[in-house]
Amino acid sequence: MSTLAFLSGNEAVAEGVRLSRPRVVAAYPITPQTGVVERLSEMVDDGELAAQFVHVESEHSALSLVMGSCATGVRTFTATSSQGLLYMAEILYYSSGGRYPLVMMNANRALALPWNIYGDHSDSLALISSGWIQAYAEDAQESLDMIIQAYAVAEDPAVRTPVLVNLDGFVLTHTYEAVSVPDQADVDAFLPPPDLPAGFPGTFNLDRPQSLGITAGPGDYTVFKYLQHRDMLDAAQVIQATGRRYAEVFGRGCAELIERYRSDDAEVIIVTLGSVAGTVRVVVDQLRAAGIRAGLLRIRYLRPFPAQELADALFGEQRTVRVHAVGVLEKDISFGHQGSVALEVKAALYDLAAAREQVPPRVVNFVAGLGGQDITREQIADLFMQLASAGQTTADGRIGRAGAAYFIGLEGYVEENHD
Amino acid sequence: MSEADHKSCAIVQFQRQNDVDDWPGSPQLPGGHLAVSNRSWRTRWPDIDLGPCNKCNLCLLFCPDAAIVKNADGFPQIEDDWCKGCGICALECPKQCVHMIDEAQRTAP
Repeated sequence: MSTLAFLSGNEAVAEGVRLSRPRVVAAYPITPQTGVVERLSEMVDDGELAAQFVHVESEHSALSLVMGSCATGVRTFTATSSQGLLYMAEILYYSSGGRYPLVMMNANRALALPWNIYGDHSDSLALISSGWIQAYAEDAQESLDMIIQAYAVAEDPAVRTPVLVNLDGFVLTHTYEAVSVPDQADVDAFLPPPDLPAGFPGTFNLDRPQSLGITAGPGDYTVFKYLQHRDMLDAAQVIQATGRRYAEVFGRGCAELIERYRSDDAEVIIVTLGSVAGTVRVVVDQLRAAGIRAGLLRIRYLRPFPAQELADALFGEQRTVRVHAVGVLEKDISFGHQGSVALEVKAALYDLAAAREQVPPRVVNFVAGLGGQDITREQIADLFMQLASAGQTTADGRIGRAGAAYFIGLEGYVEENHD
Repeated sequence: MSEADHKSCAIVQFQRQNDVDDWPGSPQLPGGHLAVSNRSWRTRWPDIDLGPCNKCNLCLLFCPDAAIVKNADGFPQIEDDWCKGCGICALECPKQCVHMIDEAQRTAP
């Protein structure tokens, strides 16, 4: 059973955390994450959540504190955003290298300078190599569902890798939706208390003290890093199995790392992640009604990178037509090259094409939504039309293009406001 | 390696097996153990004159590497593999019992 509630993305995360029964919550408030920890502190105060809520002096301390708590075997939670995530950078690597099964929520927000509190993906993508599993929610319901599944994935003895659940700042964290909140008994059955193999982090206590941050020389270090990488890759199967198990119990949700929407017979496909996928979905339906074979691939997990799922979606036997062009729409730019997500997609397709001696489809990088700029249906429809055209995009050589990245919204903004 | 086997300070190297699956799942060891000796970091050695020492344990508490243990009589004793020679113990000792001496001269044949 479940109850239907009217919740913001932040509140949906707080409900997912409450149902997962963490014993320690530590956080430092930062816009637009604040609502999560405000709600959790109320839950602790009201006795709805039996946890220690620890106020800390910084994000660096928040993540350090939950890592130390996790070493004693308890489930924990923290949340952050933007500058706070970057301030945690040292402990992100510490906790993933130490194989602590942490779960953290990140409210995706732009990075300074210039100062900007609105949503884009610059923060989490800057830390894509930090050894954390990275999930991106599309709506409030998926945010709640991803949090509960994140604990099951992180604590799986074969995974033992922390999970970062990302929500678009404001667009998702502050937007209210109808959300199905599961019953506690069902979540307890789905997510029992963590089961900790001997010697792993989480078995630390006063009777069995451990050295938690030991040195490893060059050769030993390489083995630990190889294992971290291998286990992160293998986590893809655990994510899928956990998603299938969740769907069986709660009757909803995508179990795949990439969600396909009308893509199997699509000639032009937009690959994106996060809340903007909802807008792309609407545009796909509009274009389909007009006879254009448009489709969407939504990346739900960027780490581990779902290279095989991407290949299957674009070249699998289920396809009825050949893919003409792919657009990667993302709220990020890796200065001096392209958007980080486009680099991921292109690298995966290059490896695949080289192995099969095939020419991959044209992949165009669309950078949009930086610092919270709206991405409209009209803009997305235009991107599909550019992909459908035979040649290069119509913005070729004009102000919105720099290198291989096309900045969406820049051209019109400059013309409308600064002529 | 069981934890009960290592109640005192010791160097415990990671298992160097051909199969990486035999490696520990994470870089932790039972308390009181190092994987790699710190001995080669040192250029100075804390030489302790136990004469004025009143076993206050401040050196032990201030040591950032937990390199000082108590001997059977409760006096501080430096662990050779742990000590990096930073000299904090010498600075903190209220009785000036600890004197940093040149490591090369101390260990000269």
